[in-house]
Parts: sequence; C-alpha cells; structure tokens
Amino acid sequence: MNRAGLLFWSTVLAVAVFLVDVLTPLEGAVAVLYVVVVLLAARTTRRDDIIAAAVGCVVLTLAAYLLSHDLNAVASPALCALVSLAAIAITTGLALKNQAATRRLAAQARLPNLSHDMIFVRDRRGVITFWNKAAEETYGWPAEDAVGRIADELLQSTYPDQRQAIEAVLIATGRWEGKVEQRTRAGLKLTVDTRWALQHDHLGKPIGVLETHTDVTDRVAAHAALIQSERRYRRMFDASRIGVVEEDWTGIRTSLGALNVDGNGLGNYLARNPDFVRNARGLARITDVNPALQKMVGARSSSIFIESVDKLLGESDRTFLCALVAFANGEPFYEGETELVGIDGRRVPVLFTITFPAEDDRNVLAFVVDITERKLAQDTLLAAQSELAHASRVATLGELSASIAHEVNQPLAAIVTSGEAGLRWLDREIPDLEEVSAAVNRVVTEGCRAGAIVARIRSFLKKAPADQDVLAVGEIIDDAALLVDRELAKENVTLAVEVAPDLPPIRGDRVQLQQVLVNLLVNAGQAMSEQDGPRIVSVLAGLTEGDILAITVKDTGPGIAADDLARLFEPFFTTKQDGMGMGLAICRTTVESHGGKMTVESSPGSGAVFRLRLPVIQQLTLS
Amino acid sequence: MTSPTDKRNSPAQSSPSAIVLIVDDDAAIRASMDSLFRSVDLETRLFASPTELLDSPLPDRLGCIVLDVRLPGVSGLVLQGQLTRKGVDFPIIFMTGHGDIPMSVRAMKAGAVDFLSKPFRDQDMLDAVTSALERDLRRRSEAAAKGDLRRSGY
Repeated sequence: MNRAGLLFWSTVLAVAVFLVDVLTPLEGAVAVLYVVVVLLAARTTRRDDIIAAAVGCVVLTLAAYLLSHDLNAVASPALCALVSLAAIAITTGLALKNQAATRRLAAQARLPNLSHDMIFVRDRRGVITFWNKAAEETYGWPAEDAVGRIADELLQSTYPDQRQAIEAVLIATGRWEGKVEQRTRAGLKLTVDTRWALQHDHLGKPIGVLETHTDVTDRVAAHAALIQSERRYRRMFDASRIGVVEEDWTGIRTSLGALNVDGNGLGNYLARNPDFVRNARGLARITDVNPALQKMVGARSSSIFIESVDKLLGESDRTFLCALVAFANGEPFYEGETELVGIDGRRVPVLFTITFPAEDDRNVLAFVVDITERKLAQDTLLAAQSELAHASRVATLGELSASIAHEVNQPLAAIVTSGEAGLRWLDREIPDLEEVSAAVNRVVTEGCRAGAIVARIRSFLKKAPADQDVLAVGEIIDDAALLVDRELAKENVTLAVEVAPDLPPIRGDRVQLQQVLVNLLVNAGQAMSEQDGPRIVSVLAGLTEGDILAITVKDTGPGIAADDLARLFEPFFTTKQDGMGMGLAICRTTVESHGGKMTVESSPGSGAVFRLRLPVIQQLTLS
Repeated sequence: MTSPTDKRNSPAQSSPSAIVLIVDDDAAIRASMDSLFRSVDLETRLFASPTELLDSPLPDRLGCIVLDVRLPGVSGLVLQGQLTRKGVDFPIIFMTGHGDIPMSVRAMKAGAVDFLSKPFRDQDMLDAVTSALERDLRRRSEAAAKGDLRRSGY
C-alpha cells in the first residue's frame, strides 16, 4: 500500500473510531483503537505522518470526551480518555524511534551501491539476496533480475580451485580470496579479483556470503601480453644463431654529457682522445649475452662477459668510436664490422648492429653475426685478386718488355753482327771495302730502325687512354678508405674522413684516382707504424677558390726530412727499405693528367700533408 | 767485346767446303750474318722462312743450320723435327730474341748444338758454327764407316 492509501485508511479509521466513541455508549475503551491509526500512518515511514496522525488522534479523543461528557464528569470516562491518550503517546514514541532506526538502516544499505566493485550477497545455497549498482552496470543484470538467482549459474563462474575446497576454506576461516572468471550478460568474459566474507547470525550460524569483485580483465590481459612478449624475446635471445649482447649505456650517457662537445665535433674529439674511447668501452656494461654469442667467443656461460664491452672488443676496434657518435646523436642504431676477442684470444670477425632504444640506455642491444668463414673466403678472394692483379701486371710488363726486346733486338743484332762482319772484312789480308761499306750501311739503317721502334713504343705508351668519367669525390674517397681499411687497422691507424656536402663532380679515371688515394693512405699508415703517439690519417675534401676541389691527406707521423721533401716525387726516389720509388711519382703524374696539382708539406715531427687540387666540372647552365 | 785486331779463329780453315744455312725472317739479320760467315770464307745460303728451307733441295755436304726460333708459320723446334724426318741431319744452332730457358732446354734436348740470344758476339756464333761443323763431320764419317761395314757384308 502506498502512502496516500495508508493516509486515507488511517483517516477513515480515525473518523470511524471517533464516531463510535461519540455515538455509542461504549465508554472510553474504543479510543484505544487510535493506536491502530498511528501504526498505519507509521507504515509510511515518514516522521511527519506519524506526528500528524498522533496529533489528530489526540484531538479526536479529547473532542469525543468533551462531546459525550461535560467537564464535571471526571471519574471513569476521564480515566478512559487518559488511558487512550497515553496509548497514543506511547505508540507514537515507539513508531518515531522505529522510523529513525529504519532510516539509518536504509542509508547503510545504500553504501554498497557507491562502491566501484561489484558487490552481492548470497545465502548458503548460493541464491543472490543483494546486488549493488556496480554489479548491475558491469554484469548487465538489474538487481530485480539478479536477486533470487543462483550466483554461480548466473555468472558462469570458473574458479581456480575446486568449488568445495574453496567453500571449506570459507567456512574454516570466514574468508576467501582468488581470481575468478565470470561472464557478463552480454557474454563477455571477465577476470575478477574476488573476496568473500562469511556472514553469521547472532547465534554464530553462517547465513550468507558477501562477495566483492574487482574487474582486472585489462590488467590481466596486459600482464599476459607482457609475459608473452618477454617469452618471445627470451626464445629469440636463447635460440637465435645471431649473437645478442645486452648492454647498459647509462654510464656512457653521463660521461658523454659531461664532455660538452656537440654531435658534429664529437667524431674528431674522440679520434684525438683515444683514452676517452677506451674509458667508454669500460662503461658499456654487459648485462647478458645469449648462447650464440657465448659460442662465438668460446665461453661456457654468459657470466664470463658480464662485465664490459672492453673485454669483448679487439684492441684494433674502431667501430666503437663510431657507435658512440651515433649514440650521442640520438640515432636509433649503428652498423659495422669489427673483431671480437674470444676467451682463448682468438679473433672473431663479425658484422654487428647495435640499437639504442630512445630513453632507455639500460637496454642497448647489439646483434652480432660471425663472419669468419665469409671473411676467410673474402680474404682468399682478395689474395687471389691481388695475386692476379700482380701476375697480370707482371705479365703485361713481361709481354711488353718481351715484345720491346724482340722489336729492338732484331736491329740491334743486325747492327752488332754487321759491325763485326765489317771489322772482319777490314781485317782480312786484302780488306774488302765493298763488303765493309755494305756492312756499315746496314749498321746505319738498322740504327735508325731501332730508333724508330723506340719512338713508336714511347708514343704508344703515352697514348694509353685514361677514362673520363664523371666522378663523385666522396665515393672515390670511400672506396679508397675501404681498400685500405684492413691495412690501416693492422697498423692501429684511425682514419677520419670529412667530405664537405654537395661537392661538384670531377672528371677522370676512377681507378687511377683511387690508386692515388690508396697510395697516400698506405704511405701514411706505414709512416706511423712504428711510433707510439696517435696514429691518425685524416682525409678532408672541400672546394677552394670556387672551382678547385681540394683533397688533403694528413697524417700524424714523423714527417719528412727537408732533403727528402724536395726529391719526393722523383721516380725511383724512396725512403722505404723495399720501396720502388714509383708510387708518388705515378701519383703526381696521375693528378697532373687530370689537370690537377699535387703538393706536399711537412715539418719533421709534425706529420706530412699531401694536397691534391683537381678542377671540378663546370656546371652547365642554360641561361 | 772482341777487338777487331784479335787473332780470329776462323772455322773456314778447318772445313773449307762447309755451308751454313741461315733461316731468319729479318732481311737485315740475314744479310749481316751472310756477311759475317763469308768474311771467314764460309759458304752461305739464306732462307726467309722454315717453309722456304723445307721446300728447297738441300745439298748433301758438310754444313749446319742457324735458325731463329721465333719464326712465323712453323716454329724452329717443329722445323727441326720435320728436317729430321726428311733425313736432313744438319746440326742446328738456334737464335732467339729473348733468352728463354724452357725453350732452350727443349731445343738442346731435340738435338740443337747451341743456343744463342740476339744480339750475340760474332766469336760466339763462329765458335758455335765451328763445333756444329765438327759434329757434322764426325756424324758423316761414322755414317760412312757404317756404310762401309754394311757394304762389306757385316
């Protein structure tokens, strides 16, 4: 019954009691029925209604008394009215107290609805008796649908353990916690953190269970994805045939930061400060190496290398410097070729990529491939090539000299023989001057023939055509650097190349110009091979005077004595034990045949500087 | 170098009726060698190529061949084999423009009596010819002795 109904019937009842009280001779006792009116009004649970009903009843009781009896008649009827009033007052008092308690309870009952967790209460048989707002929202069933259903059936709960075992824990301890899978009304699978608490009645008998659930589906999924990703990485790390080194470069970041050298100048700075590079190698902490890498270097376990990169890299390594520059410039990775040192001191040539994850210096990864076999094959190939080149050079020279010898020998032989025959004719008892004259004529003719042959050969050699290709200087320098790479590495020489951007092309013979640079670089390397100081060759290329390309090859060697300097480009001049003295002579000839100039400067003790100046191709413009 | 006033050892004295067959494609060489041999009273015949030599009727008398190894057409070594098959047994002296060890070894094994690099000293050539002629003389007298034996019924 709603409030209006309750109020209506309590009013009707009040009027009825009043009429009976006034119109019938039933003395007093009827008024006690006003108590029912107050109780009816109390059903609305509103304080105002209770008070209004009470006041009404009191007024009616007094009115009935005054109408039926005059004021004089006290005694029995008055006593009855007083009893009725007392009953109304007591009932009202109790009803008000009860109303206050009910309100308090209702407020408490609303609290679970404020929670973000899904909360419901079920009895011992599993029937849901309470279902909060969060449960409605997350599971999808409104409270009126859920209440009365069996919780496990409704939510299709899957428990991590046997249901009975869980129940046993609950009974024994009063609590249970665990991860449970449930399904929503829409069929969505949820993973929830569940907490159960057993409710007891006042006798301590269990009557129900309060279940609180926190949805952790996303958290669990993210965690699972993380674990899977980690497992996948582990599998790659452990099973890969590519060696992997995990490194922590935090110390290097600090050390580079303290340097205060900008990215562009860093390469030069590092080349001049090998101690810094050496120190940085020690700062590149290795945190793990995979089995493939252990095998590569002949280690039994990863622990041997859990130290720093310094131990792993060969003495002659020059890639670490470049990797440092790449790291400092924020590049994501650096690739190169170097040598690792095995446990037994064996050198292992490798190709590697080192990756620098943004903002995580602790997780620098180097991937390493053993190229020993490839290197062997390559070395064999290179050796074969160089042998072939040598053989073909020798063969060409040999053929040339053989054909020159033959060509020139014929007239020479004729001259010698004719001369000697002539002498013999002169020497006879009667000299035969006619024969002598014929012989001398042959000498003259054959002499001229020999001269003509020599002239022909010379002009043939001179005309040997050089290619006239359009060349990018940067490429030529790179190629030459590549060719001398091993030779310089062997001598512990650092090569620093700096080519100005956007250089115009030059015209000439790629191979010849490469040979010039190779010659200069190898010379520089050899010049420094016996000294203790820094061993650096720098190659600079840039424009000068607008249309002249200047290439400078500078070393930090002992320099060239003043006497030698003047004769340096002369053929057959050499300061090397087994030198031919042709290298620089040919270099200068080559540069000059390209329309350029080659000069040298040096002061003993401060290295040598070779300068090449080559004309660039004039850019054609249509204007 | 032999001086012109040296007392020259002339093969002509030891073999007055000998002939030297000169095979060389270079006319100047042929002419100068012709002059050299004639100056010591040796008879000569000149051939520009091995083919020319093979095509010519050769005299059956004391002599030797002076041959350039590097001749066009047939090489000197091949020519030597062909001459042997033809029954011409003149000792051969090889000349070459470039002293080639393997070639000289093969030539010597094939029966060459000497091997000279151009340009050669006249005395070396004349010594070589002298010893070749002596060898030919020996061969001829041995062959004659065998012929006598055969004719006498042994």
